[in-house]
Amino acid sequence: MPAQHDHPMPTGRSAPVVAAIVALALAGATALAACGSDAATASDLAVAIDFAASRPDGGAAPDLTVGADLACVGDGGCFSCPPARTSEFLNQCSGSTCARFDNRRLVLLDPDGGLPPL
Amino acid sequence: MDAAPPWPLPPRVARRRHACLGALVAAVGWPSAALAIQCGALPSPTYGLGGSAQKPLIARVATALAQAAPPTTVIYQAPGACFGINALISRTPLTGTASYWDTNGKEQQCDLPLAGVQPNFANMGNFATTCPGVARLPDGLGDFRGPIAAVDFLVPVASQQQSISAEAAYLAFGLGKAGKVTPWVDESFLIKRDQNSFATLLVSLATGVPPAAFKGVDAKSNAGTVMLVGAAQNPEAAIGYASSDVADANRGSVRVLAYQHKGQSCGYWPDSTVTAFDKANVRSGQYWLWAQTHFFAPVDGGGTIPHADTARFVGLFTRAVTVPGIDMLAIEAKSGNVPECAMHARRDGDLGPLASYLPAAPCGCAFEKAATGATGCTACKINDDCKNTPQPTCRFGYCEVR
Repeated sequence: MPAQHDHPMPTGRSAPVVAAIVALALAGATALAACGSDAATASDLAVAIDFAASRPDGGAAPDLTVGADLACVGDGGCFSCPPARTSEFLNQCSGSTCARFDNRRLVLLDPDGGLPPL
Repeated sequence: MDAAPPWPLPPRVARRRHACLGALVAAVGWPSAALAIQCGALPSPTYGLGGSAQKPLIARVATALAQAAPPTTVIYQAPGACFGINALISRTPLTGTASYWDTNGKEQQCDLPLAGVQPNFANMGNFATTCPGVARLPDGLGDFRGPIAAVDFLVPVASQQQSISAEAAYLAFGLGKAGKVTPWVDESFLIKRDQNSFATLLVSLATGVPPAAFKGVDAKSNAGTVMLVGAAQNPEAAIGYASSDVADANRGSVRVLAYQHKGQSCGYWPDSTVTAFDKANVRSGQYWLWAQTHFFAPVDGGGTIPHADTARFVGLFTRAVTVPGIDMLAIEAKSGNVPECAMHARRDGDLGPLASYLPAAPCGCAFEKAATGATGCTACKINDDCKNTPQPTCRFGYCEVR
């Protein structure tokens, strides 16, 4: 039976991937912020977030939903600020129990997260 | 029916004989057909058609209206969500038999006229245009909104499974056995609904499986889904989906799975835990599979429902009507639904993007109390009772933020 926990926790296998993508996203955010474009920063991060979330390891990347604002990263990477976007609502910090479904169970899920046609 | 024997039967034999007769009678359905009342003879009827997802909610409101003075009788058929709106659009009459609820809350059957009767309202959980073949809501039909309803993935209580992702649901219900989503690979244990079902339409929107392409066995109704899932001979292989209304009323036989949407880091139940009834994650937007209930009815040029009993019934959900003794907030909460005033998230369209929501007259505390029996909120009678709290306004008996 999959473990339940009170907040999203990346698995050990996916944690390096998460960390790498977080680092990439934050690096991109920093670079874009340096160019003085906050809107572009948020947008580019959203792309990075969507990419990570569609990975076959189930995303396992709650940290990535937080955009560029590190002040909004809660325990386990959940989104700790008032949510405004769908990804923030879905990954908001809460007192609810959750049960992660590990998409690595899905043998037909493509390496890039794509699904086969029906 | 057999003749009475010329001697007294021993009690045990008599009981057995009565039991056998009862079973026979139930099997042939003879007495219900012979004894069914004419729907038109019931007091102040309103006729509706639509989904089975919210039949528990409709039953509670219908019971309350049957008890009201004067009473209104809600007569309802539940062949599937989209059948209701399509019947209203095409002016297809209701025929056969329909359900109504007596003053004790017992579901009864009545006979409709042979020529049928035009439906006064349709009910479903989705927008009209999400239904197959409905391009737009025609002029003359109003769309009235009710509480928020969730759709749940269900497994038998004996199943070891705890959660499902959107991708897993796509592969399991879209490809069946070929989807290779262990343990959900036996299509005789995949319980689905057809493309006229609100539950199917919502799962379709969430997963990308076309509504008519679901693999599995059609349960025909939400209650049918619960029955087939709950009684599955191979509990680990069985899975289905149904409304929270129906799922919550049957937690003895089915268990709700946490659902992990695309881009979500973990799977969440509609409630804060698998055993809770607080709908915390529906209210916050952390649970993805929810939509606002719709009641459709013919309206006049001013957008008003001219049929008085239908206006009374639908108006309870929109809060345009109040009836002494009917507490809609409590009814909705206890039926597994969430009144809009208890939501912190909103969305446009079926499964549209989420946005923050602060109701004009919040009722979250009263909802918690009604749904779970407890709340941490401060009780109040007037605003002054709330002046020393961060929630300064007294609403529905509790201090709220405004």
